Amino acid sequence: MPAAGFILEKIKQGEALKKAFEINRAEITDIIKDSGLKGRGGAGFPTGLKMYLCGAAADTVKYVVCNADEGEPGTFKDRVILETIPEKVFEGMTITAYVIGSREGIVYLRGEYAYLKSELENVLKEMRKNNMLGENILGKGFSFDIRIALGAGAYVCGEETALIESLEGKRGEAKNKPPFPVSSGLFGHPTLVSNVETFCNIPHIVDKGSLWFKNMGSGKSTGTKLISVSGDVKKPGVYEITFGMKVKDLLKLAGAEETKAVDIGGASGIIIPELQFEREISFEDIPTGGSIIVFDKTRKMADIMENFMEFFLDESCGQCTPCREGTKYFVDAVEKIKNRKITEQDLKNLRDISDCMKITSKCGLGQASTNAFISILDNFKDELLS
Amino acid sequence: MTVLSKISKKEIINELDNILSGVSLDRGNLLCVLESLVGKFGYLNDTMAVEVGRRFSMDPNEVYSVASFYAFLPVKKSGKYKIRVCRTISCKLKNADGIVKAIEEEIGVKFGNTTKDMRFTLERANCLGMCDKAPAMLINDKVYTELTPEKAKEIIKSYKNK
Repeated sequence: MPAAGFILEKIKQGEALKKAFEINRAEITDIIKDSGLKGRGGAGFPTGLKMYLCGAAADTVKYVVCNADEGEPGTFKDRVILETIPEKVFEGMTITAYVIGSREGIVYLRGEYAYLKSELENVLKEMRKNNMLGENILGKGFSFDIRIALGAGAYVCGEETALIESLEGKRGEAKNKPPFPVSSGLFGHPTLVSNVETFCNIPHIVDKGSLWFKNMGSGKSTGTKLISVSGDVKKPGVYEITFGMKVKDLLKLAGAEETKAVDIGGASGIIIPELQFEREISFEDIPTGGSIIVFDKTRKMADIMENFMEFFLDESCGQCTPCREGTKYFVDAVEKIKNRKITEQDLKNLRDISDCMKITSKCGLGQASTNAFISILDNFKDELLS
Repeated sequence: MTVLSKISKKEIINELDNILSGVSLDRGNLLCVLESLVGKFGYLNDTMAVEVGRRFSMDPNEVYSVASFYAFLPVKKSGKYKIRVCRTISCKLKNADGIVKAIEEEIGVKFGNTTKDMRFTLERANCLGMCDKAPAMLINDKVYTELTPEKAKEIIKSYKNK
């Protein structure tokens, strides 16, 4: 495990920022691009490219938004980051703002984490006092500040366009892309939205260089990943792994025994059986925003399906038909499975509907809502039909 | 926050003046204002939608439309303390159902309901991000983890006289 663990470690505050001020903006973008850093929220968009696009957008007003709407079932690593090293997140946001030319940053904190808000504001206050935020930061002529905006209990607001709608004081409904936020985001201005953990990587990469970062991980998945492990394990918690770690090795670390199945990626992720525990956690094999939920041999797969599908039915915003109707259809299907009334033809229809939802749902919520269901069907069909 | 059976218009206007003293009337501040009202009164009613709409130059229906989208901005009468027990899988594996049952016994109403004295509303919430310390619940903004049915009952008891 984390031979290379650094994300949750404290850093000397402001060092990376000072270094950034000495390099020109284009160069920092190149360093981040070269590092191969990808978004840690789950979608894995190259961070350097996002910086480049937002930096190149011609506008005098730009925003840096930290997506702290950590709602994927089984994910809690952003909470741990915000509890232990919030200043690193803020420094990463400040460097990003410097690169793209933004004066205002916003942390969109999920309503469930409201209890963290006052402490985060204290940290911001302290940073202002030390001239790491506010006017003329460290005397370098660059001004930037950060505020915390509180969400109000909507999973879909983790989707970046929905999050922006919410920040504008609207219903958190996802919008069609393009335009992408990097060109037209908050109040129509270029906006760079990234995950909490992604911002944490930036000070380290600026400080130590892209080569240092690229030396960790596997293939195109560079660096480390925080993984939240919960469920049937002896040691639940946050683990920092280098990309490419095998699922079975992570299970060993977390003290999992008699494991029947592992969910990777939460309710919108996939569920794999023991035969696949050799697979790797990486963008090339199994990507994840950081959720691993472990199920031992006493657990019934239909119960897991039911829990996840009810989750999506509850959280679907209802604006597009495939997601609104599809999630209901799947909840009904689980009931049929539990009552032993499901037929082969039903299962075939469900696959068709799942494909349709994937293609036609407006945002990631609907598109990914049947992943867990279908992977259970693929891997545990006999149990479901027995 | 007080337990209020009926909220007068005057109280709402006073509170709104209070909240808006430090906040500009940009639409981007709408959620924050609604959150503050819920913090004070426990839920949003029609008068609040009208008054907030007046300040922000919005139709009250639109204020309602925004609020009704969010689970934490209740638009119907709701108790002073919102108990939200996590229903998602990691908590479910650790007996979240048992926690709900214990709380139902303790406050005398079923999940989804509010006690007659308007003190408690019992709801289920989706993943609270406390999966490593399951099962978990929120009471308003405060989080409680590693619950047992007994522990949950004790916590609820401590809110009965608050």
